[in-house]
Parts: sequence; structure tokens; C-alpha cells
Amino acid sequence: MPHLPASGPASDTPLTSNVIRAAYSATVRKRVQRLSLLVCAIALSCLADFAIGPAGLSPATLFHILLHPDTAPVTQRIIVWDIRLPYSLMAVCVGAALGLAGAEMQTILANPLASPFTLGISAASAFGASLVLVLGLSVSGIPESGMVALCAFTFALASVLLLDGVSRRRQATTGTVVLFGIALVFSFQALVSLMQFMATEDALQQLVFWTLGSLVRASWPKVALLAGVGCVVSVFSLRAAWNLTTLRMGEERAASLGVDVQRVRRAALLRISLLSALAVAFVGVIGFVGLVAPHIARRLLGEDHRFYLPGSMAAGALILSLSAVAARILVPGVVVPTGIVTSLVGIPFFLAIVLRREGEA
Amino acid sequence: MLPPDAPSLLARHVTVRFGRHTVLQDVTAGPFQPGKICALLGPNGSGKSTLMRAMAGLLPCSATVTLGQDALSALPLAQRTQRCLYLPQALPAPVDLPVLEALIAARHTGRLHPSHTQEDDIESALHWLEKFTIRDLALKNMSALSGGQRQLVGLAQALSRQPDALLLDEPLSALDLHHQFAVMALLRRETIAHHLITVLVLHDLNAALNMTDHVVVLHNGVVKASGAPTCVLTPALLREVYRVHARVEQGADGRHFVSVDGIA
Repeated sequence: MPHLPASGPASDTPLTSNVIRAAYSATVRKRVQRLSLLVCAIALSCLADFAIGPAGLSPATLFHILLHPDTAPVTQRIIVWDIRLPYSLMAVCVGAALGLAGAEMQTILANPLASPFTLGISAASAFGASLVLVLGLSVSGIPESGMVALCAFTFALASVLLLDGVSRRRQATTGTVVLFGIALVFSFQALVSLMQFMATEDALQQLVFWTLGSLVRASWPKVALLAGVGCVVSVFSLRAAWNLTTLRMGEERAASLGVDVQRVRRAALLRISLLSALAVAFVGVIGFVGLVAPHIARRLLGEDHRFYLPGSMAAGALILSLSAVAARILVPGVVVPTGIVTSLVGIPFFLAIVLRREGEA
Repeated sequence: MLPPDAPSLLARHVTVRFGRHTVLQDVTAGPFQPGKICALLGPNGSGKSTLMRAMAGLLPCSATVTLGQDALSALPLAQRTQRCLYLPQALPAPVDLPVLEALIAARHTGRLHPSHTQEDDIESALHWLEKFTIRDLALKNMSALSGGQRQLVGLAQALSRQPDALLLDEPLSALDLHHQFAVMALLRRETIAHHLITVLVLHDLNAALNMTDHVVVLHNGVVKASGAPTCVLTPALLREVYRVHARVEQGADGRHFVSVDGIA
């Protein structure tokens, strides 16, 4: 009876089970180290983001006020506690939310170009927000900020469901989904422009803020809400990590191994909508973080979703935190909207992914 | 020797429609016996993969699938796939995931009560990689493997779940001749040793003749014939189903082979 021959290239030292175990343990350790390094980099970037700014306060003063707020003048206390700190933390929370949303999108759509921004979910959210701001949609008992988030979420969910529907069509290719997403981006941008055209001066100013994407309106309640939702959502994401990892190996394969693919997708779509909508409702349209972060995580940590998902969150947080720092130092004395910085960094990355895929094809 | 209570797999009244097109019409297949390998044969589009997916519960259809006394069709998907596992024809995607982890993921996926430790997971993965003699690939990413190697990993994933019934859709399609024989030999050993019910879709009639215990021939969505390979694969059936003039001959070593004279 024939036996299977050894596959793969011949090796001088045969891989014994113990060697494989040790090498795999080393791989896992390396991933934990890389994840820890990302977290350290986020902390450093967050500190830099906190310390740099147009107020002319030295880092030593800033940290003194941070540790002893009662001893500082009111204006300085406000700058540190109500502006700088929520701004820095908002960058981390929004970045992590977009990173996680992008990672889950790329997995469930099996598409490396998927992200809330590139496929129109952010634009849909912005349109939802604009409906509240310009047309004054309201429901009794819900404050305007809550309505903005709710409307942004509804449109995010609708656009995600549309994308999912297109991606599941028999003849849909990666290109089809991306093209449909681009159509969504342009459609919702046109609708937002229509809203801008109809808006009053006040509403127009708020809308511009949304379309540019800026962290300057960060506040503690927003940071707390986004962090809370992010934590809850990430727990559910991590619980689905094995199923998502298997889904990456093919939808039919995942189903054959017992994954209720429709249920996993629907749950992921809900999480993506929630994260994208909250991020857009609080800071506007921030581009490319959700696209770039998963690629960095994949490169650093592989596609075991137990590491890939937290890695995407950490990479997203780091990118947006560094972008926030860049937004403060690009033009002296002026804080450039962070969405502009992420787009400037993200577009070359986007092109690189497209060209790489063309090369592979 | 089979245990007396070893269950067999039976699919009854399988009807599958895609829109207005009926792919399978009230098909009854089986009982597929434990410890035996059965080949599903038939030309392209005859409904082989559809029947397998329907038996595994991966298609909306009307069917009654039983494993012994248990009605599989009444079980939730996760429980059902633990008893009766379908291996799709498509190879595992080339993702950035080490082969070892691809096997661990398959072991965890859809499990209702994952109680094993990481050490158990690694032990099991290495055991199955060893069986397929692809242990050297354990640390390689799936994205770095050839199609044939990914097919072997897919087979290892399926067997590592240790189901009662294995439904393999063209499990040899990406393998070279040597690996085709080796995988069939491994399947034979596992099927006998663990009283597995192994059903596979094959296009290679010679493999079906010499390496399976039973064949079921599907044609136009109905079971055309079923039985021992040498009894079923007659010139008349080959002409009607495969539209070829062919004979089944026996070599000096006793092995059978199909000799095709031309298309009918």
C-alpha cells in the first residue's frame, strides 16, 4: 500500500514534533511581543499628541496639570483636561474602531480593499448625520447628538447590507464589490453635497466638519461612549475569532465545518455598522485607517483572528494617533483636520495594494 | 470487524431546485455503510456535489438524512457537521495562516463545547499532518503552498474533526498521480480503522473500480445505478451516462480498468 511522500522542499534538519511545537510557541510569543510593541507605540504617540499643541505649554507644565489639576489656572486645566486629553484618546478610540471594522469587513467580504471608507459606509453615515443636521430630523426624547448617531448608524447598516448583497451574488468578483462600493461613495457624497447646498450657514459649518473628519470636537462623553461600545463589540468580535479565521479559508469550507456563515456575517455587519457610524457621528469621515490597519496587522501577526483583530485595532489606533500628531505639526499654529492627513497617507497605500493585487493576478 | 451498532448513512427524498431548475428529483441514496468507501459518479452537472451538500445540510432542500437512528436533518448545522462532514471541492484559500493553525482553526470551528487545551490542539494537528506526511509544512503559511498541498491540508482538516461520515467532493482533483493513490490508501485505512462512512465524488473511473467498495451513478438528477463497481460500470451504462464507447477490462494483476474506444 503506498504511503504519502514528504511534501515541500527537502530540509537538512527534519522537523520533529518538538521542533514544530517550539517554533510555533516562538511564533505566538513573537505575535504577543509585536502586539505589545504596538500598544507601547500607541502610548508614546498618545503622549506626543497630548504634549504638542498651539497653546504654548511646555510638556512639563502639561504633565504637572495632568497630575495636579487643582493647582493649575482654569484655562490651562481646560486645555489639558477638556481639550488635549479627550482629543488624544478620541484618536485612539476612533482608530481602533475603524481598524476593527476594516478587519472584519475584509474578512467577511473576502476583499483586501474593503474598509468603511473605501466602500461608502462612512459616506453613508455622513449622509445620515447630514439629514439630522440640515433637515432637523428628530424623535421626541432623543437629543440631537443621539439622533445624529442613530441616523448615521441606520445608513451605515443599510450600505453594509447592500454591499453584502452584492458580494454574495454568484458572479460577483472582488472588482464588482469595490466598484459598487465606489458607486456608494460617490452617491452618498453627492447626497451630502445636496444637503450642503440646502443647509443654513450653521448647519453647513457642521457638515464641512463631517466631510473633512476632525478630532477637535472630542469630548469625554463621546470618548467614553466610543470606548465602551468598542470594548463590548471587540469582545463579540474575539468570540467569533475562530469562525472568522475559518471563514478566511473559504465560505463553503467554513460552512462545511459548522460555521453558520449567514449568522456570522450578519453579526459582523452589525458590529461594522456600529463602529463606523459612531466614529463618523463623533469625528466625521476619517479615510483609509480602516483599510490600512488590517494590512499592517496581517503583515505583523498573520490571519489568526485571535491576534489579527486586536492587531488591527492597535494598528488603527496608532495610525490615527500619529495622524493627529502630524495634523498639529504640519502647519505651525494650525490643527489640520485629521481626515486630510489620513487621506494623504492612505491614498499611496491604497494604490500599492491595488498594484500588488494586479501583480499577483 | 464492525461493531454491530455501527450506523449507516441514508438520504431519502432529496429534492433540490435552483429557481425553476430541478437539480435532484426525489433521490434516495444509501444506505452508505461504515467501514466502506463509496464513490458518487456521473458526468458534469449530474448533481453529485449538490447531493453531497444536501446530505451535509448546506443547501435548502427537502430531504431526510439519517445516520443510524439519528435524523441528521433535524440537527442544527454545528452539531450536524460534527457527525457528517462535507469537504468542498474548492481548495482552502491561500491565507497568511500557518498550516498548523489552519488545522487548529478547523478543530475549533463550530464546536459547541471546545474543551481541549492548546497542547491538545497542537497534538491533534501534528498527528494528522503526520498521517498525510506533510508535517514539514506545519509552519508554512497556506499562502506559500501549492494547490495540491492545500488540498492535502483540507483533507487533514476534515479527518481531524473525526466525524462518523465523510463526504469528500473531488478530493483528488489537485493531486498528482502518486498523491492520488496515497490519499486513497490513507482514506481506506482510516475508513476501516474508525468504521468511517466515506463517500467521495470521483471522475476517475479506474480509481472507482479498484479503490472503492460501492458506486452510485447519478445522471440527470436521478440515481441511475448503484452497487459493486464492476457490476455497475458496464459498457451500456458508460454509453448512456458518459456518452462513450468503453469497456471494462481486467489486467493480469486482477485490477480493472476502463478502456475508452471513442465518444458515442
